[in-house]
Amino acid sequence: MFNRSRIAAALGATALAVLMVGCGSGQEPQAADHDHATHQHDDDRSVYRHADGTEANTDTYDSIASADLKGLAKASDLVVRGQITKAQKGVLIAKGDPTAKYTVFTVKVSDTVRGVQSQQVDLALMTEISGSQVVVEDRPTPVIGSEVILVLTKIAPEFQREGYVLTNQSGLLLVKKDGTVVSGLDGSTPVAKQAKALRTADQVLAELRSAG
Amino acid sequence: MNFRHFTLRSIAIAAAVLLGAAALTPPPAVATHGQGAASGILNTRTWKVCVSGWTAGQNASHYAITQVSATEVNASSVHCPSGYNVSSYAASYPDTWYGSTSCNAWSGSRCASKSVRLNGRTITTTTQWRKTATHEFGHVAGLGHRSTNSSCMTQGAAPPIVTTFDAHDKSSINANY
Repeated sequence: MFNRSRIAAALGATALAVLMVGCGSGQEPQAADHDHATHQHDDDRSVYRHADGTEANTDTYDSIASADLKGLAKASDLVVRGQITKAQKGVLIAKGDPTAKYTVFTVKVSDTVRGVQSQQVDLALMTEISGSQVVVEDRPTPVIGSEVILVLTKIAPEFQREGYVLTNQSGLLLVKKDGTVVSGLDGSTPVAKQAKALRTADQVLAELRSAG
Repeated sequence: MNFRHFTLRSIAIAAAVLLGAAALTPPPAVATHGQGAASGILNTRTWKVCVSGWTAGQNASHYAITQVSATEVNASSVHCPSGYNVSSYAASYPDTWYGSTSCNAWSGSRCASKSVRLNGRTITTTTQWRKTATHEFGHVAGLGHRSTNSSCMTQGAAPPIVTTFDAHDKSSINANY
């Protein structure tokens, strides 16, 4: 009888659990369920945060959307692997918006996958809006010393600045010390999903190189 | 068969039925706003919007105010620079994006103040201005991106360039408030 009661209880609990999970799994969480303070992700969130300030969690409407690695590379002027050697913060680049500040990262290039070869390039990232640090969930945040793969578009001449911006927010991948790559949270974009599947920087670079 | 035996067997049968029902029940229709906006949901349905910057962007922001006002949101433009909880600013940014929406201040799990940026360098047509402003206002209300031809919440440059919220968007916005 003891075993029967345990079996019945286990079956009941399993049925309830299956029903609860079933009801939730087919339905994406509504925005109302998004709790900024407690939202958990599989990936290490630390690479998406700025450690030294408040956050401005940001949604971007990319003009080049839903591209995979190859598509993103084809839309780009330059694709490189390298290491961040310098970060100049608080740079005003936008015309007519003094509240948008950029960090210009200098990258020592170790491999040029696409575009004109150079030893170093500058990447401008909007990292501050109205005094708050910008956090984009599709995009890890690099620091000096970070090994990165960058998919880049040249800054338009009207800004009178040599350098590049990301082709879209998926165009920045961090390379960990073990050679694996980190892209968007939870595989949130086609690039992030692909990077997660390919795992290593070498595989990601090979895919980018296949864009020709 | 005593009462206890009967009860345990009933529980086991009921559990089996529930498991079977769960296996056979199709999943609910999938909403496509993902996890919603990374910038969260503005914490009130009364939006006081400061509109400034490029004229084309201001016009688009006023258009977006009318679009979002077709929901439970009560949006109106107010004089800048004080007394607003949403700012919509149009300028020229070197980035490739059309628009962005940020939360500048959190109040618990919701956002107390949001700022919208419209990129006059990448937006070249009235339709794209309108789509971008309405899209960003969707983020203010907590909507995430979608993949559908009926909504302004899609990304990218590919047509159709939809400048309005569809029924699903409106229902999601109303659910947030």
